[in-house]
Amino acid sequence: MNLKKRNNVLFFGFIVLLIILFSVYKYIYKPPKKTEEIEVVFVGNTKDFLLKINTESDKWITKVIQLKGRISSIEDEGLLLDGNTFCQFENKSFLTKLKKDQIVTIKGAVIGFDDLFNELKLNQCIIIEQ
Amino acid sequence: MKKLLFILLLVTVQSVIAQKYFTRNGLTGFKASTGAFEPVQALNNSSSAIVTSEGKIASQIFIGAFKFKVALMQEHFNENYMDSSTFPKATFKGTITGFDLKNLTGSKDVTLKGILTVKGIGKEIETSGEIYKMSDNSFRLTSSFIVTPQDFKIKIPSVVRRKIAREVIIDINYELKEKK
Repeated sequence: MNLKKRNNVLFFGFIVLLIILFSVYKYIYKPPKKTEEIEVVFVGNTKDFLLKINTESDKWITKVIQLKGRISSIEDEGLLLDGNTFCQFENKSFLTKLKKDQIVTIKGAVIGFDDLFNELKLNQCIIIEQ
Repeated sequence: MKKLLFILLLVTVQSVIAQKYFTRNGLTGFKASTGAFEPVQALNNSSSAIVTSEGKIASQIFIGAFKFKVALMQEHFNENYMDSSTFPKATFKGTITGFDLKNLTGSKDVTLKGILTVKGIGKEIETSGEIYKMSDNSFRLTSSFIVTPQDFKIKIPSVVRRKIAREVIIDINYELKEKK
C-alpha cells in the first residue's frame, strides 16, 4: 500500500516534470509572432509617422504600426504609399486586388528609413481596410 | 563661368545617361551555425540596392528585417548583438568590377569590392560574385563572403560562445531591374 502510494507520487512528479519541460521547450522555440497577432503602437497617416520617426528614430524599429494612405504605385513585392512609405507584403496575392490611387489602411513592422529610395520601409504588411 | 556651366551640363547629362538598376527586396542571409546546436541563421528579404551601369553599388540591409525561426533568437539578435534600434541598418558601398550588362550573355564572374558598415563600423570587403542576365533590363547578383563578430565589435557572451560560429557567412542574392 505504502509502496503503491510512493509510486503514485513518483508517477505524478514525473508527469509534472514532463509538462514543465515541454512548456520550457515551447517557450524557447516559439516562432516569431505574425503581424496579425502584434498590437499596433501607432495609428495614423504616413506624414505624421515620418515626422515621428525623424525625431525619435530609435523608438520605432521592429514595432508594428497602422497607416492610412493613397497607393502611389504597386511594385513586385509591395506597394508605395503616399510616395514616401514602401510596404512589403509576405502574401503577394493581396497586391493583385489593389489599384493605384486607392486609399488603404495597412499594418506592418517598421524596419527603417531607406536613404537609397528616400522612403520609410515596412515589412510583413497586411491590409486592414480597403 | 562658361566653362563651369559646361562642366555642370556634362555632369547632369552623364547622370541622366547612366542607367540605374534597383531592388527593394534583395535576399541577404547569414549563417553562424555550429554543427551540434540549433541552427543560428536568418534571412532578410527586404534589402535595398542600387547598381549603376558603371558598376557602382550601394546597398542597405535592414537589421530588423532578418527573420529567424525562433522568436527568442530574433529578439536577442536585435537587442543584444546588433542593437538594431540604434543601428537599424548595415550598408555596403562599392563597385562591381567587370560589370557590363549590355555586352553580357548568360552569366559572368565579377569582383565585389567596397566597405561594409555594420553598427557604425566599416570593414573593407573584397569577394567574388556572379551576375546573371535575366533580361535586357534586369540581372541577378549573387555573392558570398565571411565576416567575424569581432570585425564589428559584436561581443558574444561566453555562455553562448560555442553555439555561435566564429565566422559568419553572408550570402546575397539580389534581382535588380532597371529604374525607369
